[in-house]
Amino acid sequence: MDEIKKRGCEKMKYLKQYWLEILMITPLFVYILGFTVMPVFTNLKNSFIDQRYGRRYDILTSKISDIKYDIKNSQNQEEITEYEKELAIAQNELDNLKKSDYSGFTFENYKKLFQTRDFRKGVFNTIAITLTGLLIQFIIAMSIALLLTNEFKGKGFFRTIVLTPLGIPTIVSATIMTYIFDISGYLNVLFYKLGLISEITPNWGQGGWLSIFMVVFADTWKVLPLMVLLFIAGLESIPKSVHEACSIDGSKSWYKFFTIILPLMKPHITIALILRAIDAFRIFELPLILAGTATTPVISTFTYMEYDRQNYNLSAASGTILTIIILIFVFSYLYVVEREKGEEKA
Amino acid sequence: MNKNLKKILLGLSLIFISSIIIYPIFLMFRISVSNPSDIFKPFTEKSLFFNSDGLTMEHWKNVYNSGLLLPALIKSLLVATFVTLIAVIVAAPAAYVIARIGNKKIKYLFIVSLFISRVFPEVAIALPISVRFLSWNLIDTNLGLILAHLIRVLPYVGWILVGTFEAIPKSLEEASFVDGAGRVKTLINIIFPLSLPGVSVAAMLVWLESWNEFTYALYLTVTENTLPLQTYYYINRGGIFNSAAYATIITVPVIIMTFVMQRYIKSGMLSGGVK
Repeated sequence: MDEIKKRGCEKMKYLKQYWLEILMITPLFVYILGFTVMPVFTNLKNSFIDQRYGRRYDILTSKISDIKYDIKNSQNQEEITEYEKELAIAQNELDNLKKSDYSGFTFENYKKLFQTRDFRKGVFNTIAITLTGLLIQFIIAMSIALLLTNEFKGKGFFRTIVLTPLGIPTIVSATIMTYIFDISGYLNVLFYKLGLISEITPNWGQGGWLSIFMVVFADTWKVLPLMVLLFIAGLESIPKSVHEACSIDGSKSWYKFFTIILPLMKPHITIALILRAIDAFRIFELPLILAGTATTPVISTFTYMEYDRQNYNLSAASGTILTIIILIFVFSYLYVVEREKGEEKA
Repeated sequence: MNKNLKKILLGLSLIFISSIIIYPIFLMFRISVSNPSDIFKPFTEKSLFFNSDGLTMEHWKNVYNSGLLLPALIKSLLVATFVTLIAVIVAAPAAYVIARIGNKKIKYLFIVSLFISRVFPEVAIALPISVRFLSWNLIDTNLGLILAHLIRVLPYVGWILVGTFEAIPKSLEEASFVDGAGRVKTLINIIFPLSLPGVSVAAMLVWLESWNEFTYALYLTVTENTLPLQTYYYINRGGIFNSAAYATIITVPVIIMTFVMQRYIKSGMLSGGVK
């Protein structure tokens, strides 16, 4: 008994000492809990509800609440009895629905997802965009970062130019890319002027690898500055003495890059690539605006399209799959960061 | 000879990279002031840089006179401003507390939870949110959009500000306690002024994020468009000149703010990672 009292006392003391801190931190985490964590779980729950049940349920419940609202605001007694009849019917329907075969836990949505051609295509496209994007962005960003380690005239100006797309909103970059990748757009004009194509022009929006390339190009243009910044930070973290030792040895710069700089930058590269992979998997505006969902769906635009068609439960299932993939990336990222920290200490 | 060759190669690659980066922005502006006769030429006759038929302000006038620009502009401005205010008020105190937690593991847990709530895919969160907001009558309202943008923005500000507050030495607070100031007084008189530069950079980043936001706006809007949605609307209808003008309008404050902030931005801030 005393023990409990003592513990309670300690709790009170804790509260008294830290009341201000608790007051300061609570709003943020309550918001995150209510508006981020809860929706994610609602989504998970909805993904296990049959589509036929889910839609009917939504319609009936909104109908019932409408009728209840009408009853409340109606003065006419006759009208009210009329409404109550309707209410009873709707209520009855809802009860029947709850007893039907569709109600309850089901894997139907997930089964349906993997039978849907657009979703399978979406998964393929998402992975393709992520992998090719990561590879291209890594090579270009690393080259620019290496360029920027040299001293040359106008370096500051060049740096500013490279960083420009950082601020350009994704919606704006998507808009511009529609002008460039249009069938008579400016990329095809450039190809024509260079003599690479004649009258027959490649249609970038037709789907397949052409569209994947288009999305990757648009994405690369937008995220390159960030990658360059991360790689510059990585290059700067390599001690100067390493560079000097290499130049005394007289080793070739390519050799130096692959045997010394790259291994030393591995932690920076891993972190940058995983962060990029997280963003690339969530990619939404660019494929939606540039390629459309008909030819080139990705997981997120597929999720949106199913929402737009009011297939909420199917959309929830697809959203849940995306969430799980992202979480896998996040935890591998945390694992890598932790391991690096451990190595630094050791 | 070899050295000269290297110099030329370097110069060429610099020009090549710069032009790929700059050309799209130039193109956007150019289309918004071009005559249709220039843009709709058969593609064999199109020019990459020059307009043979001169420039025009016609599209800008159209955009202004359509009556759609002002409501969208006002909605975007209002939402971004309120999101910024609320985000800073809610996240700054929490970030301060997290920055001062002595126990490393608990602190790490808080920071990781901010990070994770930032990277959840929007399409997964927006669906339940839009269903919920429909029953709360928040679709198509400023309040609904503000609440949705806070979902994205709050963990982000919190995460940036933890770094800001960590940079303020604890000894300053202790000195203030010794002088007999209370905790609330210390917060207001010592911590708040010192964190102001960091808080303003965070506020600008948040403002931009809300200004540019597209996904939640798409889920939560039926008729009352924001600027990004209005752009999307014109892209879908093939309104190339209108979309170019709108895209330019969205970009202007972004470029101004980016140049103001460039000195203060660190790579870690934007990537949203845990370090």
